[in-house]
Amino acid sequence: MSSNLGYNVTIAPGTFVCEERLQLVGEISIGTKTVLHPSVSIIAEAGPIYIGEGNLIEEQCVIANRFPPNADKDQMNQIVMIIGNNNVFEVGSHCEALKVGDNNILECKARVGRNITLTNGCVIGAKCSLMTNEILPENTVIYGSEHERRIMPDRPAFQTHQLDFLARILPTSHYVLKHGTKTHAPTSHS
Amino acid sequence: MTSLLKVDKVKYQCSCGTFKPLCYLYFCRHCLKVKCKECVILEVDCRFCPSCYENLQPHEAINRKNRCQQCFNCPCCGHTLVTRATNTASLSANTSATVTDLDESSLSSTSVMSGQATPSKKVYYLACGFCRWSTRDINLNDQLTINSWKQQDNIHEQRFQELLLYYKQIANKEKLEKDRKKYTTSKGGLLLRTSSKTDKYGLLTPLTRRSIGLRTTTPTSSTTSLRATNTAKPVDSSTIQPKQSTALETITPLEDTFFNLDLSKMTTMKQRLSSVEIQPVYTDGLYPISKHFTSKQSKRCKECDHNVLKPEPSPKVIKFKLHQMAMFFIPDIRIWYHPTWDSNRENVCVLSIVNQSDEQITLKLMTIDDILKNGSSTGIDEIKVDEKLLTAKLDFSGGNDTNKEKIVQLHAHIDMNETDSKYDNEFRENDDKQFVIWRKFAKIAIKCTVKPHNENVKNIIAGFVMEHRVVGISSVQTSIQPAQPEQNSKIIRHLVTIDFGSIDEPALTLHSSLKEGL
Amino acid sequence: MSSLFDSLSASEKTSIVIDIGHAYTKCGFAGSSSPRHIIPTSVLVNEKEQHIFDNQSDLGLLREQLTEFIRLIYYKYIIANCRDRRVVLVESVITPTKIRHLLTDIFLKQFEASSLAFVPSHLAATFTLGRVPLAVQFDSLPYAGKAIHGRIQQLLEQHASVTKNGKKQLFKDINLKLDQEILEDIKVRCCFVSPFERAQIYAENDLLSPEKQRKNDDVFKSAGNVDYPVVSDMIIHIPGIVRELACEVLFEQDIDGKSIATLLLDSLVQSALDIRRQLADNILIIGGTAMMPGFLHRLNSELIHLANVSTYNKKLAIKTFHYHSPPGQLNYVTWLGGSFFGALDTLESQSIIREKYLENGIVPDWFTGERAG
Repeated sequence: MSSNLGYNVTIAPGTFVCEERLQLVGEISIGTKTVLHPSVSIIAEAGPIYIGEGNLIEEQCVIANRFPPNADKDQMNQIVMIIGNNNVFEVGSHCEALKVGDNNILECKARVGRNITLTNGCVIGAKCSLMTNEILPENTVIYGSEHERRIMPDRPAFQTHQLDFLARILPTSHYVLKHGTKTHAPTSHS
Repeated sequence: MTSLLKVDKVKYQCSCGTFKPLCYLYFCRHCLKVKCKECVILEVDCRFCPSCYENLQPHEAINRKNRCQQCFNCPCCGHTLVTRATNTASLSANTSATVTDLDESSLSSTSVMSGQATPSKKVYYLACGFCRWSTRDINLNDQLTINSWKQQDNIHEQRFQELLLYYKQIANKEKLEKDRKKYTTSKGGLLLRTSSKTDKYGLLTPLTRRSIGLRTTTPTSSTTSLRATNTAKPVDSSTIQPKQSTALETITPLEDTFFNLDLSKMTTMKQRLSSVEIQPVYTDGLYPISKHFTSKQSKRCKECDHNVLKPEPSPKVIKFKLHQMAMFFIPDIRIWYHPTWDSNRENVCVLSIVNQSDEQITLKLMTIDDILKNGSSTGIDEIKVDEKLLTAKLDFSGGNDTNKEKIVQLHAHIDMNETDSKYDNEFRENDDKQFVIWRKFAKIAIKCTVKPHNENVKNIIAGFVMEHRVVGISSVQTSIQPAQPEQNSKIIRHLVTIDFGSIDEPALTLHSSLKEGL
Repeated sequence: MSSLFDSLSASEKTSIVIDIGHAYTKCGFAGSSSPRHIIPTSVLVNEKEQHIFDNQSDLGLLREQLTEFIRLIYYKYIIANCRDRRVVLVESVITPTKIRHLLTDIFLKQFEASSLAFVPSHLAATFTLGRVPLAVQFDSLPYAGKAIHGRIQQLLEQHASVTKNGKKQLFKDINLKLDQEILEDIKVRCCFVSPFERAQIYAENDLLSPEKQRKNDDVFKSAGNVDYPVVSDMIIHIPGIVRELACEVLFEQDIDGKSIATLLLDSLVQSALDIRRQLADNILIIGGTAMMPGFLHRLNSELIHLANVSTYNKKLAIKTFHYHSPPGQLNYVTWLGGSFFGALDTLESQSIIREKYLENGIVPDWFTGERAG
C-alpha cells in the first residue's frame, strides 16, 4: 500500500522510526527524541502532519489527517495536523484529531475523532472513542465503557525512563530509518 | 459440536418441574433426585476479601461490616486502589520539596531532586489504575505508614444509639408486661404462678408487683423508673431518654453555586450510593471505600438436608470437598447435526451422548409416546410431560427393528491417552448399527428423526426420555453392621428437551464418513 | 460506648432489614445506624439490567426476578445465611397485596427465614425521631422520580440542542429517547429545584417561549448551561431552563389543582381540628427525591404561600410549619426505622412465624400484638 501513494517525511536526528510495516502517506515531519514502533501508519491525506518531540507512538497506531466525509477532495485547502510533545499513543490507538497538545495519553485501542482538540494532559482510556465536537479541558480523563469523565488535579506522569530505554534497545533489533528527509514519489496506476 | 457453548439448547427436567441445562443442575445422592438452584438452600461458608484473600470468621466479619481493612476501592470507578510510594524531602526553610513519582513496589532509591541533603522519607498514597483517581485529588496528605487509611464515621451514630437504647427499654417493658399478663390472667392465681423470673413461690407477688411498678403508671410517663428483675440495677430512665427531635422552621435556602454548575464536580448516583452514610454531592467528598467481602457458599438439598456442593474453606483453593453436579452422574446430550428443516417429512438428526461419570452406564432411551402409552412402571418415578412445550416429535430410528426402546452402553469417563482403540470394540459389536453411528471411549453418536407437528411451527423443540441406574448413598445405618454406608441404587428417568432452533436455520456441518451412515 | 453497641449488632442471629423500594433497595442488619448497601432494584437478565417492578402483571416472572434479587441481597451484599434469621421488610402501605403475598412466600418458603415482619414505611420513619407526639409525613414516591424524568425528556426536546457526529442539531430532530439511567444522571447532577420567587417569575412571564427569553435576559439571569456528554459521540447542551424547570412538575398544580404542597395541606384540612397545630409543627419529609437541592426550601415556601395567601387561606388557620431532620440521609430513613424495629425484643410478636405460615398460609394485614392466626 505504501508504494501507491507517495510520502515526504522529515526525520529529526535523535528520533527512531522502525521500518517494519511502516505506512507513510503525504507530508510528515517528526521531531526529535520521538520513537515510532513497528507497524505504525501515518497518513497525511488532507494536509501535512507535524509531530513534536518526545512522543511515543506504539505498534499498530494510526495517525491520520483524512478528508472530512462528503468533502470535495480536489478543491480542499491543505489542513495542517499538529501533534505536540511528550504524548503517548499506546498500541492500536487511532488519532484523527487536528490539534493535539502536550503530555496526552491515548491508551490502547482508543479512538479520537476529527473535531476533538486535545489540550494538555488528557487521558483517553482504553477502548474509549471520542467522536464529539469539543475542546477537552486540560487533564481530563475519559474512562470506562460508558465514557465517564473526570478532571485530574495534575497531568499524568511522563515516561522519560521508557523513552531512554527504547532509544538504546530499538536500534539493536529493528531496522531504523536514518534521519533526514526521505521522499518517495507516488507510483502511478493506470 | 457447534453447540459446545450454547448450553441452553438441551435442557433436563429438574425434580421441581423446571427445565434447566445440565451444567446448572445438581444431583443429590441421598434422595437420588436432580436438584436445581431453587431446590437448594445456600449457606455462607467463608468470607474473604477478593483482593487480599484475607479469610475471616463469621463474627469477626460481621463486626467489621464485611469490609477489608487493607484494601480499598476507588470511589470514582469502583476498581481496586493501589498503594504507591514516593520519596519526599522534608521541607527546609528556603527550598520547596520536589516529589518524584515512583512506581508501586519498585523501592529503588533514586535521589531526591532538591539540592538539600535532607533524609528522604517514604510516603504513601492510593491511586486507581483505571480512572487515575488518587487520594491526592481530595487533598489527603500522603500517609507515612501503609495502613493508615481509616474509614469515615457516621455523624448520626450517637443519636442512633441513644434512640435505640431508649426503644429497647420500652420494648423490655412491654415484654415484661405481656409476660406478666400471661401468667397473672390465668384463673385462680392461688397456684404457685410466678411473675416471670422474679420469685419462685409467689409469696412476694404483691411486693414485686409494686416494685416493678408498671401497671399503676402510664407506660409513656417519662419518670417511670424501670426495675425489671432484682438482679438488674435500677436504671433511671430520665437520663437515658433521648432528647426529642427538634423541628425547625427555617430551612437553608439553595446555595448560589447551583446556578452555574461544573459538571465534573458533581458525583453520579452510583458514586454517592457506594458510601451510604455520607453520600457526597461533590467529587471533593469522595473517599476511598473499604473493599467489600465476597463469600463462598455451600449448597444443601432442601428435602434431605444433605450438602450437595461444598467448597474448600480456604479462599485460595478452587476445588470442592463435595461436588455433586448432575454432570457427573447423568450423561450429557448435545446436538451434533441437524439438516435444513422440512416440515413435512422426518428429518434425520444426530445427537451425541457423553458419559462423564466414573462408571459404565447403561442407558435406555424412550420416546415421549412410549412413556405416555405405558404409564409408569414400578419403582420408577412417573414423568409428567407437558405436551404444549414440544413442537416436534422425536423418534429413534431403528431401521427394521420394531423394538422402540433403545439400550446403549457407555464407558466411564477416562483419559484419552491411556486407552487404545480396541477398547470400544466390545461395545461396538453389540450396537445396533442403524442407531449408534459412531462410538469412541465415553462418547457415542446416535441417529434420530425429528418431525415438526405441523407447518406453522417456528421453533423446533423436541423431547425424549432417558433412563439409567444410579447408585446413591443412604444415610440409614443399621445398628448391627458397622459404619459401611449402604448403597441404594435406583433407576431414574430424565425428560430431556432439545431446542433445535428456528425452523429457518441452515443445516450444521457433518463429517462425510458419518454422513454416509445417515 | 460505640464498640459495645457494635458488638451487639454482630451476632449471628441479628435480623436482617430490607427496604425494597421501587427504584432502590436498602439492606443491612438490624441495630446498625445505616444500611450496608443501597442498590438499584434490578436484576441482570441476559446481561442487561432490568427493573423488577417495571412489569408487575406477570406474576411468574416477577417471582423469578424477586427470588434472584433476594438471593443476591443475601449472598452478595449482606453475606448472611438465610435460614433461621428473622427478616424485617419495610414496605409502603399501598403495596399491592399480591406482592406482599409473593414476598412472604419467597422469604418463608424458599429461603426458610424464621420469621418475617412487615413494617409500614412511614411508621418506621417516625421511629427515628424519638418521642414525637404526632407527625405528618411526606414521602416522595417512586412516581415522583419518574415524573421528573419524563419532564426532563420533554423539556430537552423543547429547548436543548445536541452535537452529534460533529454536527449541531436540535434535540427533537434526532428523535432520541434517552433511557432512564441517563435521565436519572441528568436529574441528579444537573437539575435543582428553583426557589419560589424564581418559579413565580417563570410562570407569570411564560419565559419558556424563546422570544420572551431574550427580552428578559438582562433583568433576570437564567441558570447556567451545562454540556452533558452522552457515551462517545454525542453532547447534549442542556440550557439552564431545563435544569431549573425539570422539577416544577412536582409543584405545578394540575387540572384538579393538586400539587405536592396541596396534598400536604389537604391532609391537614381533613384531620381533626385539635391536632392540626401539632401536625403542622411536626412535618417529616423523606425519600430520595426530597434530597434534591432546594427541595425542602421550596416546599416550605409553597406551603407558606398557599396557607397564607391563596386557596387555603380561609380553610386553615395554620400559617407556619416546622420540619424535623432525621438522623440519617433522607433516602434511607425508612430503613433506619426498620433497623430500630428489628433490634427490639418485640419483633417476634409482630412477625409472621414460619411454622404458622406453613400451616395456614395467612398473611395478615395488620399486626395487633397477638400471635398471627
